[in-house]
Amino acid sequence: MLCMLINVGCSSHGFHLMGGYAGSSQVIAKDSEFVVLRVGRENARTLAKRFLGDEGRYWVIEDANESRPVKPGNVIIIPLQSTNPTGFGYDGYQTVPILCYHRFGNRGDRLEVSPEQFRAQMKYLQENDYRVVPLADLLGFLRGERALPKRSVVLTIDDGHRSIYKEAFPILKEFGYPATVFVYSDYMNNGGLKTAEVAAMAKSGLISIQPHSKTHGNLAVRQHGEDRQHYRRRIRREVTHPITKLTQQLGQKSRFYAYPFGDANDQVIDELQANGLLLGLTVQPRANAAFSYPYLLHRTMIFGDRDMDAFKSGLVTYKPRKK
Amino acid sequence: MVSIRLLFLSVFVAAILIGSGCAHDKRRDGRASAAYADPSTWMSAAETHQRRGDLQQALFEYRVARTLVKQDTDIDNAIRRLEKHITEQTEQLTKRGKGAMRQGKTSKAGRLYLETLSLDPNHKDALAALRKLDEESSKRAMERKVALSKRNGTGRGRRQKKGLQGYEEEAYTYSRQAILQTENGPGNVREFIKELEKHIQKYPHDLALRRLLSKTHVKQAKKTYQAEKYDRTLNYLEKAERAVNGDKTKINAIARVRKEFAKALYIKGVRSSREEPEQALRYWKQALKFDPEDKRIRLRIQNMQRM
Repeated sequence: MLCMLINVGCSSHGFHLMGGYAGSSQVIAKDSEFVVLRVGRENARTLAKRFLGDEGRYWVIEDANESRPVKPGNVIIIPLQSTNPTGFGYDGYQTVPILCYHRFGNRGDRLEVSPEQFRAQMKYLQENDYRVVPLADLLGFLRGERALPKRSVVLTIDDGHRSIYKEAFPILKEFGYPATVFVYSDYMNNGGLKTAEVAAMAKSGLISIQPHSKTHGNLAVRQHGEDRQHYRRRIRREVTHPITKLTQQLGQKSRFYAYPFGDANDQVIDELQANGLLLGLTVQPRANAAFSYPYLLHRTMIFGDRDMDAFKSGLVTYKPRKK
Repeated sequence: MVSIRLLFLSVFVAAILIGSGCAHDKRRDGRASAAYADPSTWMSAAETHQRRGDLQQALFEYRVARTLVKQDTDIDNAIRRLEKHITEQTEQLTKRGKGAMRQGKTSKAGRLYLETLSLDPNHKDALAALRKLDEESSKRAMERKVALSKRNGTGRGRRQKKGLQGYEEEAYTYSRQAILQTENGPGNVREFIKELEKHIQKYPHDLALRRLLSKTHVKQAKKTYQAEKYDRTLNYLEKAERAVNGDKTKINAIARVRKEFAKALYIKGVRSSREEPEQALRYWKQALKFDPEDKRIRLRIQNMQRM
């Protein structure tokens, strides 16, 4: 009797006590551009699957309805077309920070981030509505063709230290965050990551393995006594060798390249382009806009001896426009 | 019987209370968001954004209104007018952008192209022009960075002399790079000093960065001296001396700065000695802290104290 009465009280407004809004979402209007609907039992993911054909695009719905949370009873809109692929608004434009990690552990080195720090940083991203996206998603954004979620962040890890597999990979899996690991091929199976570890990370679908040179020598600085011809040959080797090795071991073509020490020049960029690489990453600290030059993308270094405030200050996802 | 009635009544009241309570928040949200199913809400928002100049958002909102009311002439006309206005504005802006580029005014051109994209985020020409500008500025920045790498010993020979290889070599290089990239930037000086100190603690033999730390302390000392914060000035100079770790050339250079400050304070004291003898004494005492060996200052203090 009590339950009946309670239910009557709730359902008179379209709600059940336990289940939220009674029915499935009710489409109020729809055309080729938008769906306007009253949310039922569905959430952003299920609505994205139903209307956008991909539940991974749930952020399209969340971003379009910032002032109207996607919850039962609320009227929301679902954009069916991408109207703003470059992230430009009246007040400014979207930028995407690419974070650059190296090694994980507790030795207290500047380049080494402790697993506790790394977990705290990932937790911060999660709790503050940052969306960690794969580096590959940047391609469409940089072509001005495909929008990225607001507050997008990209994670990259350089060199191929074994601590990536032992320490960082389990944390990334826990949060479901994708990352790109740039390895220099001479280090693989020679102090660095083992082939099986690289393969396991690649197989997870979360980690993309990409080249970071052969020897980790500076590509933009000629070595002592190196003439122009030798330099050119070295650059070619440093670009092609890791690509070949990764293709052999993982059966996939490399698409991105992180310059050792973040240094590059026109010759190195030409070599990347000649080998079909689509992005080149530096360590110049700044976030990237849709108009950023794809072969000199900026990255923010994460140092183990910096505090959480320094980490937060690197997460610049919107740049206000000067007027 | 009475107790059964009472029980029934209390259950009924509880049910109503629970019922109204559970629905309250959702109803409030639902009512607020129900306005979004009303085309006039979107039209009104669009008009507000249009007045503000946010044409992109206005167009978005008119289009949602069109989804809600199909074949409404007013909405269709508003959209057509706004699209035409945006096209005219962006054409004008890109034309001015191209003109600025021809005159070599790249900053102005950049601003105009940014404005174009804020009106039309799909504007391919503006995006391409901005990318070209970004390519050029990124390449210039990279040239400066590579020059730093060359100048600051990232050549293999010099690193090997320092006994650093592999990961250690990389950690050292990146640590330096992070500092040198921000050297002349607009960042916080205290943070910059903190970064330098961390680096030197880890790599105490990096003389170039020890000198940079010392130079930064001296710069700060000059700033605080101008602000007449003499104790802080002295503190910075002492830190500058410690940073160069006995490097005689640098210690002498800092000594010259000390003498310079001492002399300026000595003169200030002389100027105020007749009118404000106590102030003069304070200046000289401070001057003596900067240069404890200055005999003129000692003499002045002694004479003043005898009077």
